[in-house]
Amino acid sequence: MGEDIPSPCDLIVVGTGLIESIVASASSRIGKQVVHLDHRDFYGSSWATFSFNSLQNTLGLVDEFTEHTTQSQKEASDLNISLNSKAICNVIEKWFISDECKTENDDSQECEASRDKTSRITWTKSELLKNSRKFNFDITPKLLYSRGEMVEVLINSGICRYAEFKNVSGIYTFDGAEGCLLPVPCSRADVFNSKEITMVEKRLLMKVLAMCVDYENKSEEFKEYESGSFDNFLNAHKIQGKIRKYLVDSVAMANDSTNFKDAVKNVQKFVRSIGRYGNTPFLWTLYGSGELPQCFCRCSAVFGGIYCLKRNTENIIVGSDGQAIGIVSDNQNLMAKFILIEDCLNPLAKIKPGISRAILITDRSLTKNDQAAIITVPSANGKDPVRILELSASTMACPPGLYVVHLITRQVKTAVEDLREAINAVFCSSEEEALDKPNIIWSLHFNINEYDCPEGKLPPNVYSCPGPDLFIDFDDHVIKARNIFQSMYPGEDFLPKVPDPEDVVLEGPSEDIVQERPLEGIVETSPEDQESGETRQ
Amino acid sequence: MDPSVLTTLKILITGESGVGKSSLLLRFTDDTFDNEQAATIGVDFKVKLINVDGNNVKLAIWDTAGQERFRTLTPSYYRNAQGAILVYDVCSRQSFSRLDAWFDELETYATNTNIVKMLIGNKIDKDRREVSREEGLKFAKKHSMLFIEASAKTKDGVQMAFEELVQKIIQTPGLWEADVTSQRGLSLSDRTQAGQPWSCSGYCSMV
Repeated sequence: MGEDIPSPCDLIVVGTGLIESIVASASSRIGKQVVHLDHRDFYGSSWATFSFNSLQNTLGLVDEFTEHTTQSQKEASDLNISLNSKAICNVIEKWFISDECKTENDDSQECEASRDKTSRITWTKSELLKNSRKFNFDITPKLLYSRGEMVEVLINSGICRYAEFKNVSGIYTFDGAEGCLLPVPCSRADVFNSKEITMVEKRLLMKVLAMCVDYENKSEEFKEYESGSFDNFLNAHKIQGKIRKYLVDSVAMANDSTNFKDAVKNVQKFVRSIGRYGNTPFLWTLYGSGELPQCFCRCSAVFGGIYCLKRNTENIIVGSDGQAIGIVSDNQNLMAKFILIEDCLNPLAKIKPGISRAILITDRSLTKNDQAAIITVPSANGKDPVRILELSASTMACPPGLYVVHLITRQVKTAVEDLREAINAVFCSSEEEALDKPNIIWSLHFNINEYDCPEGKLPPNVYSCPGPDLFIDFDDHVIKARNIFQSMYPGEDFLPKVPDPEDVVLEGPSEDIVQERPLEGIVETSPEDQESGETRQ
Repeated sequence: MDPSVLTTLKILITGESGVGKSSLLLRFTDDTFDNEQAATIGVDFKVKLINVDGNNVKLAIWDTAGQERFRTLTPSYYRNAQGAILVYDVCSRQSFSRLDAWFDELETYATNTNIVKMLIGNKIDKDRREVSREEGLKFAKKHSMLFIEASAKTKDGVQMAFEELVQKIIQTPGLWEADVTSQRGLSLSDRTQAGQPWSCSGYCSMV
């Protein structure tokens, strides 16, 4: 590399995951010199979004998510950064289509024509891969609550200008007994127009929602439930049947064991977020959740953050007083006052079961959704529910006519085992074409590790940042990032507003007016020119 | 948007570190030039109104924020751009030979397939030229780009480059019209807060 990385600096961040990127931007924003490194060749680490080809390459269907490095001899006091820890494991890819065109006659022209006419499009493997760049596959797909922490920080900081969003258009919960999806009503009109629930249930649902929203003002009334589970509270108010499903599965994003306070917080966030940008509380990031870490990195760079990918970090240098004084990166010592690393690189972190994930490509929507939809498949026996996000082409997740479906649940065994039931319930993955269920064209299963990081073992000026979690939104990570920032720089503003360049419009002087004729000196080229240019050679 | 403004265009500038990307930008938007200009800090994008063929067009011209220094631009930088300017330094062979990589990256991440591309050979005011005009032209032809040599220092070609680029964008159907851009997503900002405060939104209006 031609240029040197500045050393010493105020903060070295290793890994471009979400928390790392938020803290990097917040620190650059207040004038701290930030050096942000990642040994990977892409932004976002376990939060990244990939095209078809880059997903396959990165997940090593080509075998490696992070590359191994040879560890050189280290001084005993230093902490080796474990670059070879794999954050993603148990990766299994499966194709459900052949590489040939599946129409009656094999004429490819016919095949093109039938694609235009029939609603069921027949895709082949090579065609999907040819469209590689039209796919945006999230490793960690997450939604934004319209009035959640992420939206607030994006707006308050001005970083929202780097991304665009789509409203989530539908929220559903899966009714196992009936084998169908129940739309969750998201407005007063929805509730009262619903044919799924009785008038008594409607009133009860509205009453409970109102109680939850007003929780802080009426804490007396809730005293007896506060220490218990949300279930207990619902039982006490005789909430049963479908409205209980709506409340538990979707509005409170809860399960049997969720405590009352957490559930109420989610209900409040859900209700308050409705109507800000659309009829549901949720937003989806256009081009995928992997855009968000990049947005924060861009902000950091604008304020002087130095970015360097494909840059290995071997270890943390610890001084005699137990404080970290820098890192060794590609055999160069980089000194810094603070160091931030991803959990999965933390030398003291222990892997624990994390998240079971699947990504599917399907040929039709579960929900007639033309944007994004979230579907919850509740699990019995106290297990976590499976959350399904279905993305249409309008979210830029895939080419028109296809859908990208993400499944997320807590890891118990492997992704394949943990998600089998849910996938079988709503999709068709075998040859017997069930006309009422979407067909799976391609599937990828994997697990994302979580990490136990013993507190107080790292030097006090080294922070370890958790990777993805099970929550459907980013808010917990925003809060964690803010806490890390405030512990490094107490009293400093967290991501204050950046002046909007739109407000500084420079009016061109009058001589700027362009003549209609092409100006001399500019050469307009076209492929034809190229040919003639080459023949002249 | 101001009704007299036809459209807002996103234009981005890429190329090796030190070729004068920010200088070209600042020459065009602010008509300033700083010989000693340090690496780019604090420039996100600049906005300028220009008039092309009788149309007022608002340009949002994005700088790399220095992220190109270690070749680490974020893919999101390229999203929704209608125009892209690739810059090399005519006095640096190395900056010219790196154009292929920058062009590939542009092709990979640009979301508008018909994005208008322009190649600028900068610093023609200097004498130690290492890349001839013909070489620049050949590269531009190979990739169907507009081509111009310029100097941010002497102003040569700068204004012309941006104007020509904008003219070409406006002439490209399906690249900038409102019905095309409105199919994208929604932007978050406190100005566009649709809807009402939560207390009367959604369910709770009835209780």
